[in-house]
Amino acid sequence: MVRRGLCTLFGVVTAAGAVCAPAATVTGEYADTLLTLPQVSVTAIKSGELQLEAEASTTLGHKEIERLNIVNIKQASEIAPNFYMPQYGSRMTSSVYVRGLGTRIDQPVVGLNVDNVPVINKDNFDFDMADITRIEILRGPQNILYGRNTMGGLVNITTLSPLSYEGVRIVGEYGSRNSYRTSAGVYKRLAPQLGMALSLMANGTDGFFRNALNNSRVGKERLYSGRWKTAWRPSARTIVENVATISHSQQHGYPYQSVATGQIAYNDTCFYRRLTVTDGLTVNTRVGEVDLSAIGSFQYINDNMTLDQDFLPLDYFTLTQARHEWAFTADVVARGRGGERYRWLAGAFGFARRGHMNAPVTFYDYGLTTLIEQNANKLNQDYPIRWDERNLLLDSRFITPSQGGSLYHESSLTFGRWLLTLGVRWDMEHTSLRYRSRSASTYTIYDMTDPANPSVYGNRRIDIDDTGSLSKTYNQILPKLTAAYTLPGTAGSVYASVVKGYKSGGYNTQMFSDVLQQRIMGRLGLSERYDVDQIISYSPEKTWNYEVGTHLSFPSIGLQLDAAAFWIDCRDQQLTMFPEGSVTGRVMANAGRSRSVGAEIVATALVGNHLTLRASYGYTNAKFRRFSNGKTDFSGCYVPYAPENTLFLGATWTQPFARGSIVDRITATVAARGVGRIRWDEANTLSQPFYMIMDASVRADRGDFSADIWADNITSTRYSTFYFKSIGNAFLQRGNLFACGVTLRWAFSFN
Amino acid sequence: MKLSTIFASALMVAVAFGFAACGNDEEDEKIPEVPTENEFTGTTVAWPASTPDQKFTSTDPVYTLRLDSNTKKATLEIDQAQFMVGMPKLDMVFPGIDYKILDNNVVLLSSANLVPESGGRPYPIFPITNLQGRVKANGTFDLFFECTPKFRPDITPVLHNITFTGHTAD
Repeated sequence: MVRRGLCTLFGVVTAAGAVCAPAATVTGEYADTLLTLPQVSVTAIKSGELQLEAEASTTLGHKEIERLNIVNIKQASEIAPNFYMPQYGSRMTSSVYVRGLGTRIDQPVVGLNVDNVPVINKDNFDFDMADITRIEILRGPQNILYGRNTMGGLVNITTLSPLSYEGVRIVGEYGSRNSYRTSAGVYKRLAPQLGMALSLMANGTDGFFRNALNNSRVGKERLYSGRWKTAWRPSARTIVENVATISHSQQHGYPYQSVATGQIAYNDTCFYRRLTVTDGLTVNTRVGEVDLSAIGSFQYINDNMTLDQDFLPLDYFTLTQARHEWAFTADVVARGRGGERYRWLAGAFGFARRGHMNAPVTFYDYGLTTLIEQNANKLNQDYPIRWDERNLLLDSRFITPSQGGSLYHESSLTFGRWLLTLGVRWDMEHTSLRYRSRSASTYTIYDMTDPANPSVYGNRRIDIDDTGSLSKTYNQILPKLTAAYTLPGTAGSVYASVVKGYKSGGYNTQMFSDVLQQRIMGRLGLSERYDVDQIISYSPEKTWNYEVGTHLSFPSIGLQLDAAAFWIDCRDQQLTMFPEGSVTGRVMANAGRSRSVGAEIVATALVGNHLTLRASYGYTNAKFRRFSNGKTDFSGCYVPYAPENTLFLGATWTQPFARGSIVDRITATVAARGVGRIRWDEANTLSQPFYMIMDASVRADRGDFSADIWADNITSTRYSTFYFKSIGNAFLQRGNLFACGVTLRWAFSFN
Repeated sequence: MKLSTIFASALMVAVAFGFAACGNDEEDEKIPEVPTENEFTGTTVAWPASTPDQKFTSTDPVYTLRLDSNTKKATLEIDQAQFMVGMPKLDMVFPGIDYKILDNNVVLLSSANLVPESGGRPYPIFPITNLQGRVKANGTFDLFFECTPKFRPDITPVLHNITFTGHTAD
C-alpha cells in the first residue's frame, strides 16, 4: 500500500511540474558542479587532476551526491566499478572489496581520507556526514603516495568549505522504519579570508528487521555528530584548514538470520557503541616554485562491541570488545611546479597509534556443556567433568602500540605526448602487542565407573594468568612505474602502470579466545601445543598490480569515458587456517596466493541540457592460485566475499520552469545497482547470485527550498550481503527491502 | 698384657669394625647414580598387533620419567601422546610403574597393567599392559607397552603395540 501510495505521489508531483511552463533555456548550472578548493584536497596535493592521471578513478560531485542521498562511504558502493562495500553487522564492520582484494579482519585494503585526515582505523570508516561536496574513489595500489593499507585503492571525501559557501543548510528527512536524518550547518566568513562552519547531525532508525524471539527491532540506531571547520587564507599563496569532528553512535542488534530457521532469533544482547573525536589540520603554501603541504591529525575512538556470538536463542557465549585508541598522523609533502618537462613530488609520513582493549568472552551453561564439557568427556565417560559455576569467563586485555614512518618520491618526465612517472616509497612500521589472558574456575570430576552409584572423584581448579608481549618490524620498498600517452586534441589519454601494493601485518586479537580455549583444554589433558605468535600474528600482504587504461573525453557529445583492465598478483595473503594435526583452534597465516584479472568501464554523459547519465561496470575474476588451510585445498576456487560483477546505471532528468512557476525545476533520478555473484566460502559451495536493486527520487526546487520524495529498492529485491558460520551454524544478513521517505532541504545563502 | 698389645688389639678391632661398617654400607640401599627425573625425545611407533605393517610414527611425544625412591615407583609422563591417526593428542601420565636400578645404572621399568591419567582423570578407555622399559646410563630410553583402546561398546577393542626409542634432550 505504501508503494502504491508513493507511486501516486510521484505522479502528483510530476503532474504539478507538468502544469508549469518549462523554462525557455536551460544552462549548464543544473549540471553537476564541484564546490571544492582543489589545493586543499589531499588528492589534489599529491595527484593533481585525477582525470589526467595514469590510474582509474571515479569522482562524484556534490549535486550527484545529493541526488543519490549519499551521507557515508558505504552508499558510494558500486557507483565506482569493482568497488563494493556491503552493509552488514554494524558501523564497526567496514569491509571493502576492490578488484577482488578485500578483508574482513584488521587491516583494510582501501584507505579513507576525510577532509585530508587519513582514517587510521577501519572500524571508524562508517559514519554519516553532512554537506559532502566531493567523493573520489581511486582504484589500484595507492601505497606510493598514500601509504599503508591502500593496496586496493583510496577513497577521499571532502566536505563543504566556508570559503566556498556562506549560508545555512538544513536537512530534514523521514522515512520507512521510523528512519530520520536531520542536519544543520552554518557557513560564515568571519573575515574576507577566514571562514568558519559548524554543522550538526542527528540520525536514527528503528531498523528493518525484528528479533523473532522477543519481537524487538534489530538494527536500531541513534547517531549524533558535529563538525567544526575553519578555513583561513592568510595570503594568496597559503591556505590553512582545520576540521574537528565528534561523533557518537549507538546501534542495537546485528540482523543475522539463521539459514536453518530463516529467522533472526537470539537471546543475548548485541550492540555497538562508538565515540570518535578527530581533528585534522592542513596547511598548504607555495614557496617559489614549490608547493609545500603539511597534514596532521589526531584521532580518538572509544567503542564497545558486545555480541551474542552464537546468534541463537541458546546460552552459548557472548563476547565484548571494548577499546579506546589514540592515533597521530603527520604528512609533509613538497611538490615542484616549475618544470614543464619534469615534475616531482617528495614527502614524509609518520604515525603513532596506541590502543587499549578489553575482550572478555563468557561461556554460559549451554556453551559450557556442548563446547567444552562434551568435548572433554567424549573420550572419558567413566570420569566426566562438570564445571561448578555455569558460566566461564575468558578475560583478555591488550595494549597495541604501533608506529611507523615513510619517505616517498615521485618523478614525472614529459616527452612530447608521453608522460613517464617513476615513484618509490620506503615504509617502516613497528607494531607491538602486550597481552594478559586470565581465566579462573573450578570443575568436579565424577566417578561413573559404577553408574548406579556415581561419586565425586576429585575437584580441580584452573588458574590461567598469562602475560606476554610480541613485536614485529616491517620494512617495505614500494615501486611504481607508469606511462601515459596524451591523445591528439582533447581526446584524452591512454596509460599503463606497474605498481606494488602492500597491506600491513599485525596481530589479530580476536584470535586470542582460541588461545585461551587451547590453554583450558590443555589443563584438561588435551595436548594442544600453541604458540601465541603463530596463532594471532600475520605478516604483510603484497600485490603486484598491472594495469592499462584510458581516459577519453568527447566534449561535442558531452561524453566522458574511462576504462581499465588489470591483473593483480597477490602474495602472502592473510588468511585463517587450521594447523596440521590440530583438533581445535585456528591460526592467522600468510598462506595464500591469489590473482585477480578484470576490467571496468565508466561512462558519464550530458545529453542535451536536461539529461545526465552515468554507467559503470566492473568485472573481476579473483581466484586462489594456492591456498590450503591445513584441512582442505582451495586452489583454483574463487576468492570469497569479493563480487564478480558490479553495475551502476543512473539517469537524471532536470526540467526547469519559467519564473513565476510553482516550482523552479523538477529533477527525477533513477539509479540501479547490481552486484554478484558473491561466493560465501572458500570452497565456493554457497553464493549470492547477481542481483539488482533500483532506487528513484523526484525532487522539486523552489528558491532556497527543495523537497525530495525517494524510494530505495523499489522492487523489494531480496538479497544477502553477508554469510558466515558460527559453531557450525550458518547465518546470512539480508539486504534492506523497500524503503521510502521524504527529504526537505533549505539552503539559504548569505550572499 | 702390655699396653702396646692392648692398643694394637684395639686398633685391630677398630679396623675390623670399620671394615664391617663399610661392608654394611655396601649392603644398604644402593644410592642411584641415575637422575630422578629425565626427559626424553625420540620416535614413537604404534601399530595394531594383528597388522604390523600399519605403523603410525611420530616424533612429537615427549617422555618424562620420574623415579620416587620412597615409594619405589616411577611415573612416566607422555606429552602430546598420540598413538593412531585421529586420536587427539593427550598429555598422559602412567603412574605406579615398578622400577629397578641395576649395577651398571640401568633402570628397568615394568608394569603388567595400569590405567593412565590425563588432566587429573583416569582414562580406563586406554588400558596399558605389558609395559617394559630400559634407561641406559648413556641416556637412551627404550620402551614398549600395549594398549587396547575401548572407544565404544559396539567397536571391538584392538590390541596395539607401542614402542618408543629416544634419548635425553641433553
